[in-house]
Order: sequence, then C-alpha cells, then structure tokens
Amino acid sequence: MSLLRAALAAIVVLVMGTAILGIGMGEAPAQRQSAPTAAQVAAAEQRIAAGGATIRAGRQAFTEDGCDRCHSIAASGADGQLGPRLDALDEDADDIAESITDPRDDIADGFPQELMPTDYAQGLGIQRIRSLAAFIAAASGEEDEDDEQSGKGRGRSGRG
Amino acid sequence: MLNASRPGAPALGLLALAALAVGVAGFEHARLFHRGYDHVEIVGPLFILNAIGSTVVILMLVFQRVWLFVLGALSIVVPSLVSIYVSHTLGFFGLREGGYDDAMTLIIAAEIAATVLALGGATAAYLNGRTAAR
Repeated sequence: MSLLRAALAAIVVLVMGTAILGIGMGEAPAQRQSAPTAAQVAAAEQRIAAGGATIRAGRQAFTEDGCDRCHSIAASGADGQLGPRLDALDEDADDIAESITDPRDDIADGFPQELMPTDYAQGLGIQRIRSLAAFIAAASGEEDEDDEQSGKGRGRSGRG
Repeated sequence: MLNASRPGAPALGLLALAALAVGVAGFEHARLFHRGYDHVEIVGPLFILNAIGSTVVILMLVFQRVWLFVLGALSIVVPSLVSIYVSHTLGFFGLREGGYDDAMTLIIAAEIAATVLALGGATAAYLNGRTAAR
C-alpha cells in the first residue's frame, strides 16, 4: 500500500468518521427549546385524558398522520426533533389549525422553512385538522391557569 | 469489464470527482442525522448507513477496486435520490417533507453529480480497457 493511498484513506476515515460520530455536527433546533417540566407533562396528560372525542381523535391522528416524526409532545411520548416542539405553544386551537394548514406563515427561529408539507388542508380534511389542533392545544395547556407561572421558556410557537 | 489496474487518467479523474460527490452526500446525511433525523424511525438509521456506506465505497476507489466503487456508489446514491423523491410525494416510512432546504438541495446535487460522474468514469475506464486489450 503506497503512502499516498494510506494518507488518502486516513483523511477519508477521519472526515467521514467525525461526521458519523457527530463530532462538531451541532444539535437539532428542537433540542434548544425548553422541555416542559414533569408537572407540566403530568398536567397535559390529565387534560388529554379528560378530553373529549375530538382530543382523542387528534391524539390518534397525531401518530397516524406522522406528526410525531417531526414534532415533540412529551405527554404523548412523541419525540420528533425536526420541527418545533408542540407542548410549549401559546396559541389556541384555532391558531394551531391555521398553522397546520399554512405552516410557512410563521416559522419558529432556527427551523427550516421548507420542511413541513403545505397540503394538509387537502389531505387531512378540516375535521381531522380541528381534532389535531384540539389535541395540541390540550397538550400545550394554552388555557391552563398555571401558564403564567410555568411558562418559562415558552415563546412564540412558529412552525417547522 | 472495467480495467481496475489501469483505469486511465480521464476515468480516474471522473471517478475521483464521483467519490468526492459521494463523500459530500454522505457527510450531509451524517450531519442531518445528528440534527434531528436520529429521532425518525427507519429513516434516521438509513441516513447514518448512507454515511457509513459512502465511506466504504470511497475507500474502494482509494484501494483501486474500481468496479466495486462504481457499483457501491450507484447502489447508495440512486436509492437515496428515489427516497428523497418519495418522501416529498407519497411519504417514506411515514416521513413526508414539504420542500427542499439547503442541506437537502446539496445532497440532491451531490448525488446527481455522483451518478453522472460514476457512470462517466466507468464508461471511460471500460473504453480504456478495450483500447489497452487490442
């Protein structure tokens, strides 16, 4: 094996190995967002469990429609990291439904604008989107009275 | 049959550029894996496998396994391009994407370049081998 080949192989292994191991690769934007506290997660679980048929349908749709691939909701076990986490929103269900149908209207800082599909309004139908929005609103606790106290780290939700 | 021992300078140049393109695409897949795709079932592991496979096929070229490099490179980049297309249309293992950000655009460009350059390099090496055999 010539010295040149050995040197080339070493460079390839070093560069690609560094990337594969994740050294200096940064982190997912979602990991920079504050995760809800254990108390907030427990409260969200209670709201979801106590929710009606719409919220239950939304929870099911969240998984079936692949929302959990990209978004986190700790209370439902979803841990997607490609888009912003959805259990720290300060939006009501109507605003969330609008975010699903028009996800590029307001992008959270640090998230790519292009990733979320824009055809959910056609593909899912308004009723399913309303269910999703109701579930996400329940998970994020927008109407929770403790928001003022427990809302540290919350910001404008944006969409990813 | 590719002439592995003497692919010729033009073929070697094309194949080296193909290896560079494979490396760029593999590197970007690894970077994206660590920036959120590691939490996506099936797709995330495929990203890291892409990077590992890219490393192996580049080493094939370094050690003059020319036809293994060409076959390996094409077997990585072509399915990857198809997967990207499927993830933007039907969905790929449950993952649907709505557009192409900078990283994805770079991967697509690198993989198209790798495909063209690998095929071009293989053709040049084949022709060089036929000429040398006469």
